[in-house]
Amino acid sequence: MKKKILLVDDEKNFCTLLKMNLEKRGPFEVLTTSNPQEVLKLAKANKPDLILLDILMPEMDGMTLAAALKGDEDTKQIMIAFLTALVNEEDVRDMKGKTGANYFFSKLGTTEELMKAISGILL
Amino acid sequence: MNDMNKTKEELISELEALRRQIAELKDAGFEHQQEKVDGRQAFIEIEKRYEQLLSAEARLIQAEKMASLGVLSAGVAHEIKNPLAIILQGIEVLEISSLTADAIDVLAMMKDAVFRASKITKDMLTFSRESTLTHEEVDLSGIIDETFSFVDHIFSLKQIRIARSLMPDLPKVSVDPNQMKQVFINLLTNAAEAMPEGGTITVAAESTHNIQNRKIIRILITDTGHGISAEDRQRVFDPFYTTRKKSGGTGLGLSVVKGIIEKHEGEIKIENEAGGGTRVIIELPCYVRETKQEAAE
Repeated sequence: MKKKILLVDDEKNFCTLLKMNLEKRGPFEVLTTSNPQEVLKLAKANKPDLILLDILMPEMDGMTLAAALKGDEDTKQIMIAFLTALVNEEDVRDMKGKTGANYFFSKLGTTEELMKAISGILL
Repeated sequence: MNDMNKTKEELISELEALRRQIAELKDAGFEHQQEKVDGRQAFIEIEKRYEQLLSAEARLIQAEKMASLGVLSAGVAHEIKNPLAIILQGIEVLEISSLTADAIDVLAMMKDAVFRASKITKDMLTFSRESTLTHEEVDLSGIIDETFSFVDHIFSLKQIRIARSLMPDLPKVSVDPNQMKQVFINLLTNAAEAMPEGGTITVAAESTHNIQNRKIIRILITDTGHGISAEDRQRVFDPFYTTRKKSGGTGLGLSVVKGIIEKHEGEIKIENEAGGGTRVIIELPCYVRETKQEAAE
C-alpha cells in the first residue's frame, strides 16, 4: 500500500519534480501545495502519513506551520519532517525541539537518500 | 583577542587613541626643539605610531569588509540552494526516463556540477557563520588520525603519501573536534592539490612554548609540491582568493581554516619549505593541561 506524503514548499517547480521522483521511484503518493494557508485543511482532509515541510516560505514559515499542525487534535499525530535548504543543522534541530517536528532532511540530497530516510520512518 | 574578534567600536577607539598619541608626541617634539634637545627621538616615535595608525585603519577596513561579506555570503548561499535543488530534482526525473548513453553522461556531469555548487554554498555559509564552538578536551592526535582515515583512500589513488610525526603523549587540548577535523581536511586537501603528480605530506605535532612562553601545540603540515609565491602567501587567507580556479577551488578553504584557528585563539601561517613545497604552521594553546597544573600548584 502506498504511503501518502504531503509536500509543502513555496517553490512550485520543486514540488512538481520531487513528486514525480518519489512517485516513480517508490511506493508513495505525493500531494503538494505551495500555499501554507492550505496545509491544515489538506492535512485534515487527506490524513497523510508524513508532511514534508519547507522552512523558509514567504507567507508562513515552516516552524509556525509545524507548531499549528502539532497543536491541532486532528493533525497532531502526523509525522512532520523539515525538508530545507538551510545548511546549519544545529539551527534546524533547535527548530524541531520548539515545533515538535520529527525529522530534518536536506533539499540537496538525492531522491534515493530521501527515499531511504522516509522509508526508515514509514515503512 | 585577535582583530577579527574586535568590534568596530573597539577598533575605532584604538584608532582614536593612536591619533591622540601622535598629537602628544608632536607637541613633545616641539618642546624638545625649543629646549634645544635633539627632537629626533620624538619624530621616530611619531613615525612608529603613524605606522601603527595606518595598520589599525587597514585592519578596521578589513574587519568591516569581512562582516559585510559574511552577511552577503549567507544570503546568497541560501538563495542559490533552492534553485540548485530544483535542478537536481529535474536531473533525477530525466535519469529515470529512456535516454541515450550520451544523455546519461551529460546528466551525470550536470549532477556533479550541482553538487559542486552546493559545496560552494555550504563553504560560504560555514565561512560566514559565527558558529559557537563546542569545546571538548581531546587528544589532537586522535583527530588528526581520524582525518587521515577520511582522506586516505583518495590520496592513495593520487599517489600521495602521508607521513605522520606526532610527538608521543601530546597534551590534550580544548577544541571543537568537528571544526578541527575541518581544518585538517581542508589543509590536507590543499596540500594534495599542490602535488598533482603525487608526493608526500608530512604532519608533525609537538608540545612547546610560544614567544609569550605560553604552552602550545605546534602542528606543521608540509608538502612536497611547488611552493607558494610571495603574492599568493599574502592573500591566501583572503576569502575567494584561489590559485586553483580551474580545478574548482572556491577560495574559501583557507579562510575557513583561519577563522576556526582564530576562534580557538590559535595562530596560523604559511611559508615555503627550503627545498620546495609549502609548510603550514598552526599553534594552538593548551588550556587544559595548564589549568590542571595551575590547580595542582
